[in-house]
Amino acid sequence: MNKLIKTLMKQVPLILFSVLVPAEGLAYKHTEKSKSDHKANIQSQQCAPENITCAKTVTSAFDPEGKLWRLWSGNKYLFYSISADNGQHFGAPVKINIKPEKISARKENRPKLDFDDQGNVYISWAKPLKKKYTSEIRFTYSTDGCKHFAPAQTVNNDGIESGHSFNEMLVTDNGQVVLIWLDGRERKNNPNYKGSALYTAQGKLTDKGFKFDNRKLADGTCVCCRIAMAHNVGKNTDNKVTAMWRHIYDNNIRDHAILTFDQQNIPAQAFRASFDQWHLNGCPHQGPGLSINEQNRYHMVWFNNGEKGKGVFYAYSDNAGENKSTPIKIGDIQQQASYANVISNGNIVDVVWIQFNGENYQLYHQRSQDNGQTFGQSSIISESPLDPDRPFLIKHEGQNFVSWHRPDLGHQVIPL
Amino acid sequence: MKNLIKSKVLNNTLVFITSMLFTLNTAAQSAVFSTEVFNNIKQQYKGQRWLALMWSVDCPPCIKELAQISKMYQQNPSLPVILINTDGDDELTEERETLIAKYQLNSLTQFYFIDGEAARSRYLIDPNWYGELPRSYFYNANGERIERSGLVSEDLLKKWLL
Repeated sequence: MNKLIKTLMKQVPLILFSVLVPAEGLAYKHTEKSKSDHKANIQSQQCAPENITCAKTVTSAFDPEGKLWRLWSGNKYLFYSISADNGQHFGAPVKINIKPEKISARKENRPKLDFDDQGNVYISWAKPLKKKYTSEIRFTYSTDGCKHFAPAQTVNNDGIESGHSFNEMLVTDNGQVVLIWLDGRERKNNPNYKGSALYTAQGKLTDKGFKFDNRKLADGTCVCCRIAMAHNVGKNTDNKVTAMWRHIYDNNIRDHAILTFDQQNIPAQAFRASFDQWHLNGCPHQGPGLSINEQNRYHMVWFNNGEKGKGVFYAYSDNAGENKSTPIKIGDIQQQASYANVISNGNIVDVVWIQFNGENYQLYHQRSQDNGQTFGQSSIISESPLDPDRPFLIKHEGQNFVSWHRPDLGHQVIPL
Repeated sequence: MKNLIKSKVLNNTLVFITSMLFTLNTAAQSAVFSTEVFNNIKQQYKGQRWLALMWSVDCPPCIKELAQISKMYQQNPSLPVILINTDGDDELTEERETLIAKYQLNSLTQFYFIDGEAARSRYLIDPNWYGELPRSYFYNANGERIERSGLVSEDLLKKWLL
């Protein structure tokens, strides 16, 4: 009945208005400006859940054999497909055979995918609950080449109907599955608690699967930006992991923090990673990017719109974020430079980001050949007429790639 | 395919005409945002102070601001506020409508960004706005505006609007 009322509501203005203005002409006037070139958008009317084109987000990762996987969600299911040629061609979509449930997959929230060196597959996502802004961190894995996946389990152990989202996950070189997320449990008992908390859960595959303890890493994070996480892969780094996130400093200053933590429970100190003084009692909806190379140099990118810094910035640190290089400005803020990501590969550092030129979204790339000291000219490597997903950088051996999904147009893997 | 194109054109016709009706101040449901309708709204409010509030279903502080607006709106049905939802995602229509209904704001003039064109629409409103929310544009009687990012205090809302 509700649908009928809505349909009638839409039809009544049409009938009323059609006597006043030639509707077709006006409609074309509007569509000319906004959608005439976007033929592919028509596909949105025939979207099957496994159709990656219709997904809002795509996550990509290389497995230990060098095959490229991509993961997306549709109609409460997760799907993946695999490429043996670095993303030029992908096999047919495969549905992950677990019970269907809601999956957060838009803008800053998306499922995550990683592998251990045995080729076991690990997947995590956030599952929205009934109450607005509440969700759980979910996890599944396969040890038999994806013939079976374990029943999904909840990673956060508080049992509280609260926010648990913006999950990140990676598997370290020693097979430790590390999850982090933003957690709203502190607000449940303390209405004056500001922001969210950063939590981690970690574990290794056993015959009995996974049992996750939860450990708080930080208090007072921003509540609506993705986290960046990277594995400390250098020698003598003890398989540590580093998280970078948007934090709430002082009176609603939304700058970034960075923290390197271990696999046990040793307290670690977070450092402030940006000093742009963005005063905002609201949602930036833009998290940072982080990559760590074999010399333990931290490469960081972020967006701010603060009193002291506006736009996308890059900086590096050689002591876990305690001291940083002078931030380098990336892209053109006049063209809405945003959603930057970074990856290091030896002395090469690649940064990608999106700009909007008033007509189209453009994917930009800029490369440093000297470990982040200087960057070459930026170049446009792709475009989209419609709202695109965030770009993400991945690597296999000596080659970096950007994974960029354009809803209604398709997923791209571009070698850099 | 032909039918799909027809259907798309008809759909766009419907949303556009509905949005035009807002400029005639007759409708009471959300309509698609365009420069034309926004300019018409600006003309309509010329000579008085008003507020254009941008919000998203993914923004908890926006919901707090909707609650503040709702409180004022219940006491003052001619409150000079328009709401613009910035999600640009047809899959969120129901969620958007549920929130508007929850805060009893259905009758307030409101628009939403067309699916897939959130950044384009944002750019049309203000090329120096980077998507942070909530975003408020306080217009004075001369049509000049002051922008503010983040949750706005109830005091400031009252001072500007009442």
